[in-house]
Amino acid sequence: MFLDLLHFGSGAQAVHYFLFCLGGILGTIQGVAVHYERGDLVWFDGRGGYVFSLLAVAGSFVWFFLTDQDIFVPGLAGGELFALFTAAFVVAVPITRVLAFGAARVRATVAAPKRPAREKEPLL
Amino acid sequence: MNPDVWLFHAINHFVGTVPLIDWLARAIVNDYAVPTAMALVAVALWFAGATPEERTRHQRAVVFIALALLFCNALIKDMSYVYFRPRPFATETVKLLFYRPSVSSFPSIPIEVAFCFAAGAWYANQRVGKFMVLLGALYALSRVYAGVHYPSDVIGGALIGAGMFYLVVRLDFVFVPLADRVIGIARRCQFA
Repeated sequence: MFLDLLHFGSGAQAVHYFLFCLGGILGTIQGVAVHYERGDLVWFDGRGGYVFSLLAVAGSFVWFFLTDQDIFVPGLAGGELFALFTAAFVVAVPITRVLAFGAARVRATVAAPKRPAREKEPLL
Repeated sequence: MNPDVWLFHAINHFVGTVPLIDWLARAIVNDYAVPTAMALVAVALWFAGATPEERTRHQRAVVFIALALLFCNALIKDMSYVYFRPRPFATETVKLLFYRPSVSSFPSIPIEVAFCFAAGAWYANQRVGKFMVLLGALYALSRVYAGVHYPSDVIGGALIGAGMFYLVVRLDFVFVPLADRVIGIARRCQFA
């Protein structure tokens, strides 16, 4: 019903904007996750997380404004922008959680103390 | 001369004098950069907070922003049926840096959206709120500089956006239970 009110034009700009939002949201969540030590969201600990966050957000902006040619002509309106941003958020959160789960497993494996080698059974 | 028109010309006549300022204005004035940056700040607020109480307050602010935006857009849509103000480029000699929008000049919808976000950020965290107000003010100035709004349009948009957010906060007995319900559903679905 509401989707009938939205006009995405050729669709190319909508795809560009969706990817721009997705990159920005993934980067933003990582920045917050590192700052507040959210183990359920974080992919990289410490400085690596901040660097990734900055690169993802800044890279999304630069990529969008360098690649999209229709920024200064009438294009997507408020409703379409809101719908695309919300869709990107809905996609970004599960991606973040799944990758954070995987990253936590990798960190746990790497950090686990090595088991001491079992002594050889004495020969009878 | 009308002071609003006089101030518009005082700002707009600088277009073309310093190419760097024109470039900056074009980077800010478009429909994508500032609104998306502000929405990303709202995403950050949604997940931010050192304590459960702080997180709940931040998340309520984000839900309030969404509600205030909804009410603002309904109000402006109704206003557009009874009042239409022509854009500056339709009635004045203007140096235009942007395309020619067709909707009413008053109030400025992008600035209303920006100040709704800014008020929400201020409610959640004053430091973030100050940054957002500054960004909103730059956005408003760029809209006038680029020739698409009169100063009163952006002031009107800012007042409507921030005022609607204030109204939502004041009606907390209605909107806090609603916000808490939305936050509860989001938390159960692992979205918060």
